[in-house]
Amino acid sequence: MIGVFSYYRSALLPHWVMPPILLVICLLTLAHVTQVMPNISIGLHAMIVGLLVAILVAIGEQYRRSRGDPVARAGVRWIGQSFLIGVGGCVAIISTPPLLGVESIFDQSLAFGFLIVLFVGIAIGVARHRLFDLEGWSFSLLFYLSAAFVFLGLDALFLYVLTLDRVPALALALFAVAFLYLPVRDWLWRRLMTPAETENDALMFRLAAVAFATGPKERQSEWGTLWRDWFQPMRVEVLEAPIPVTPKVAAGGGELLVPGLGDLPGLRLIWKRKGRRLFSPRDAETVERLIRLLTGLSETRDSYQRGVLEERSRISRDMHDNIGIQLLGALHSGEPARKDGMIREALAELRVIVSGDLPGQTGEMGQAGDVLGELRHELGEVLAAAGVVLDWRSTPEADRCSLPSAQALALRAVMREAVSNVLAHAGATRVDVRTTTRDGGIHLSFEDDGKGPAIGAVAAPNRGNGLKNMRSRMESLGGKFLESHRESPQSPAGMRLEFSLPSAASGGAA
Amino acid sequence: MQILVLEDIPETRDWLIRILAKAFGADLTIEAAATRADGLARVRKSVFDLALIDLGLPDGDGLDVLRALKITQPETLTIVTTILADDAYIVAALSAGAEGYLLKDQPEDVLIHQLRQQRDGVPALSPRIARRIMEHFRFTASPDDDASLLTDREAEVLGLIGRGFRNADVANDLGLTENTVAGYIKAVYRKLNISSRAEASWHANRLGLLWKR
Repeated sequence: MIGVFSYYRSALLPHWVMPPILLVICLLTLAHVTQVMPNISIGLHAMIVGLLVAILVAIGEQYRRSRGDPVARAGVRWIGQSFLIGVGGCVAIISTPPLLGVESIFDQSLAFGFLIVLFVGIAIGVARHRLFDLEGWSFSLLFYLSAAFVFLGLDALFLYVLTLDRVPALALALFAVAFLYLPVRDWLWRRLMTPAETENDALMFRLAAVAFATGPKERQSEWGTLWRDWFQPMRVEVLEAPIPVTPKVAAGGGELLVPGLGDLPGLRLIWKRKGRRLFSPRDAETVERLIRLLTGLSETRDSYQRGVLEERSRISRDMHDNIGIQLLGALHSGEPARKDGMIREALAELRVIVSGDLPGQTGEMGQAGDVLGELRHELGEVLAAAGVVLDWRSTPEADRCSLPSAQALALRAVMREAVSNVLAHAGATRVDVRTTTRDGGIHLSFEDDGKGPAIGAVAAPNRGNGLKNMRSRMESLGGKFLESHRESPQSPAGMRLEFSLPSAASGGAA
Repeated sequence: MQILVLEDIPETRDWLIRILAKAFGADLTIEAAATRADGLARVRKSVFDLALIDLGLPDGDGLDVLRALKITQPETLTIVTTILADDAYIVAALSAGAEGYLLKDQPEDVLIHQLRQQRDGVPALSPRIARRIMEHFRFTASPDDDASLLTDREAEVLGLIGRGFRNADVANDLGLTENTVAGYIKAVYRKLNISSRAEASWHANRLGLLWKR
């Protein structure tokens, strides 16, 4: 063993030193066998303990020299610990008591059981050349070793100091180990082997920073920062092809290969924790988990951005359809009153678009209730200012009816037109509006108690023009427009207009 | 009647002054201002019965003038005039203490009608703004502060207005007088003001602003 630790992993002594040492050992052994030495303590046990100390010094020196090379250090630690537990335990039991002049309390055969640890340890170390998981094992071994020593030490203490019997002493020692050592060990284990909780919290923000970074450049820089903060590697390199699909530990635990994600490059992380640790398969699992989280976050961001784009295109579509066309009409209209009306309508539409909260304006199926409520209020104000009473009744079915944007827009336009006709020509005192459904589509009737169509149509040609507009608006959406007399006892008096639109669900309104 | 008209577009300003004359007769003293700074200066110098305040001014926010008025002359009837402002902006103005609002693109006779109504204490409230206000209370009201909660009746009135009912329709539907309905709407405005103040102090508290005094 002294040979092994003198030259594994780096040569501590010049090569010519070893043969004389081996010769001395052989001579000493010979002296013991031939019983030249005064007694067994000096002959055998002193030599064994002396060798043990020399080997421990060699291990310490090897460990010191392996600084900066985590793979070598893990190897030295592993083999060294195996040796320490196996041979150290054996020697402590067999050779130490005779040297101190005390009778050994253990049978020799029991002590040799410790040697098994050495052989198994070396076997595992050799079987797993890469040694990356051994780091964690080394720690646990160290802890169990110290537990064993605490156990034996306490046992001895109770035996010799308190002069207890062997059985109660063993029980007390067990008790002490269970209640003192194990909690401390557990605490140490958690401190040393797992990242602190706060790091997990900070991690969430790091991931969000990557996913929601403003541009590709910022995203890539946050991506690098994420891994730099998490593993504190000595160096980070961008991976050239081929980039692994899953995270991989490479170079015997010296490197961790992080796969790319979308436009984020694959990375090679070199020497974890500035070279004080090795990457383990557990780190690879962590990377995989983080990348999964990041993928989820990125999808959230993408759908958010899609929403922004959709909203933007909705606004520009509405701008063109509702406002551009109104203003163009106003520009080309030679009639001041109509020009004003169209500009007003354009402004009202603009307000609706800016607010953007009417379901009917989203282009999806919106409820008619909100659109009709708004219209009812607006027309009510206009009529009230002229001293005309508005009686508007709606069925719940009509309020719940689906009203796509195009239908809402058309209904607003025809109803405004109808009201301005009433105010301009009819001399009415009241207007009755009824909203119902017909074949699943919305149906509106509009009645005034004014002079009626016969007189109006002749007296005011503009009004006829307005009615033509209403008809074309309804028909362009697959709807119907009816113009008749008010159904009243004093018939014929007043005008009755009916607007019906096809059910939005049936797809009739294209 | 002393009136302040704060409006930056000259044509619109003149038009508003003409409308005021039509609505309230000839016995008016009207001071017009085109900027926030001018508005603030006039609020410091004169006392007004009525102020029409445009929100988007070239040198800043008309809300500042509104707030200054509410502090120095709480009796002044303040009406926000707007054209394209987001509904949320109007709710903010109401929260800051405005008694009403007017949309400047309405026909002249509608505006005159609404101005007279607001002078007579009938507050304006459109369905969309009513819905916004309901939302506002849903998100900001705190259960341990009664003053920030709507009563059932107030919520009922808001709900009907949100569906397009006018004050007279609401009165009809609930079996109340129009005056009572107007009273409920004013109470809602007041609570909006209170809740926004509570919210402001809550934010201030949260930011540690109140501790630094």
